[in-house]
Amino acid sequence: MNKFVFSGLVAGLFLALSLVFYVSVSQKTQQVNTHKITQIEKQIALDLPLLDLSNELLKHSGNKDAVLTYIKTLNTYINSNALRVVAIEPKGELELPLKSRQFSRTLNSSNGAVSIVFKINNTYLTATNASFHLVFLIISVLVSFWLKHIFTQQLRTNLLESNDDTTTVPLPLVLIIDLNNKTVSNSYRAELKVCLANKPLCFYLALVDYCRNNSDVSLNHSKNVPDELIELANKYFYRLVELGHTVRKRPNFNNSLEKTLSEVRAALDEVLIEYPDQKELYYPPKAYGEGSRSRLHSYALTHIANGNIEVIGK
Amino acid sequence: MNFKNIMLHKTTVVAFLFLLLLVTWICGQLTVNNDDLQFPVMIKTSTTCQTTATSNTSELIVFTPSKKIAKLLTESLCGDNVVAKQYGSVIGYWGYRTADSLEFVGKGIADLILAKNNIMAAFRAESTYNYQPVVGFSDYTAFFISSKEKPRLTKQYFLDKRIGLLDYPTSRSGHILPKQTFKELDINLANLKITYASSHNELRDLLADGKVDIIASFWKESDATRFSKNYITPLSNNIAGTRWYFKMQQNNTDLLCAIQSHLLNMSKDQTLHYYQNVKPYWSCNTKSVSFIKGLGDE
Repeated sequence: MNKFVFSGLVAGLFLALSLVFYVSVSQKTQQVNTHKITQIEKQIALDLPLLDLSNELLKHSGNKDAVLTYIKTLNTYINSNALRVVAIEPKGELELPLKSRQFSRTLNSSNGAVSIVFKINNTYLTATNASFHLVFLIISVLVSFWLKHIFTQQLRTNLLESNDDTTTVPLPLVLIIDLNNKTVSNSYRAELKVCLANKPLCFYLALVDYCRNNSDVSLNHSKNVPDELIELANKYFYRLVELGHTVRKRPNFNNSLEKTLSEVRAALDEVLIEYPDQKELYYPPKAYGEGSRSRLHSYALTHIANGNIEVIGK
Repeated sequence: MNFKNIMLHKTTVVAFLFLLLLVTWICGQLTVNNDDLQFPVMIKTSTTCQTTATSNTSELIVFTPSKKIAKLLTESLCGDNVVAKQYGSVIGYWGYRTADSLEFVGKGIADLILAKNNIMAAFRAESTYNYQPVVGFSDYTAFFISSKEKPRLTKQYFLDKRIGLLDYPTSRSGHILPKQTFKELDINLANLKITYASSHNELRDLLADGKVDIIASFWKESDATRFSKNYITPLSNNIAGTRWYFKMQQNNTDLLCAIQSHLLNMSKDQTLHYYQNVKPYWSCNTKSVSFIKGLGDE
């Protein structure tokens, strides 16, 4: 959350609170004023017979001073700067137009209509209201901090979740083949290790390398093992010799191919027992039905390019 | 941890913001001052005070057209021994409007009333309720007063003049006598430009401001500062001044004498020369109380 968003949030909250407060105060003020005006009108109506207003019919000039004194007294009882009585006059003598913020009400009596001029002077920004707005500002800042905290927290958990995704989903099982102690294991359960004899180990490693380089090759039992594959197997065998696992001469990888593959399969079965969906990647395909010597059957690891094999001590 | 989780939940934030807006609205409603307006009796027409005889329920009713005099007199009567012997309280009414004084006189409500003798005569109050004059102010003369020339009492003179009169029909100098004069001169009132004022002072302001050419009023010493004494024309001499009348339904001479002395004392404190110049109608000795002859009605 950058600074612009944060200050925008503060401003938005402050404006929303201020607006609600303003509308509330205005609505209440209007309501109170309407009520007060009714009360004042009632009082003036009560005092009207004693008010020395001028009367055209009776050629009575009235006592303006007495009326002004009355208005002054009335205003002291109204005791508010927001609402004041400005004038009480017979309707015909009212000075028009009224000034701004003034309005008149009419009392109809048997002696003729009397106009009362009120003045409303609502000052919204009083000390109380200003302090309320200050409080709103503080609350806006605090709430924005809160929201910011929530936002960053959420961002962090999202990030953590996405990190988890990258570690679990795109980093699947890795088949670990350790040349140092001739074991096969998977990365999920590294403690489960299955030992493999020299010949199947070398042949499987060679097969993996060979199939990686030639993804669409077809390896048949009826044909001889390709020279390239033999060469790779020999290379791994020499590595095993280097590591001191054997002193025997290198085996013939063409001989008893089916047995070698079975040993490989048995080891992989054990390692991948909990992950059968991964078998397809690492498992040299078995012949189903057509017979192990069938021309169609291929033991090539066609999907090995998608698998992950880590060779330790290569 | 649980609390923290709750605080981090989006629903909490939304609920909190909603509550915050609600609280804001309520705050707005509460900050507006919602006091009910309470008005006392706004226009008072009387003042009451207690004498030392608090258990006595009878009231001495005083009526004057002036609020100031009513208050002064009520206060001073409450402190009087004779009044305290007879009354528990004194109520002073002041006439807010002309009609009030007519009611008080015509129905004989007040025990003591300040009134013009023409009104007392109109209601025959002196014989009906036995209102007796106690103290009277000196007679005076009514004048037409102009600011620029001496008014002439001819029909032609008045026809294009703006004239200021008093609006209350009980006034002799400011209303009755000038209108009588116009009648004698055979002037139709409809052809005159008459402006009405509510008091003698207001009339003088009208003249000084040039809003009228002539006013009808009495002459007082202080008028010399604003107008010329050369530019006044008398309408009629010896208009009987206002008098204090006391309702003598019993031969209550003690009270009469007490009231007379209070009225005389009060006149001395008045600022206007006219009101200082009073004369008593009764001679109050320790032996006898008698009406002073030769001061009777004209």
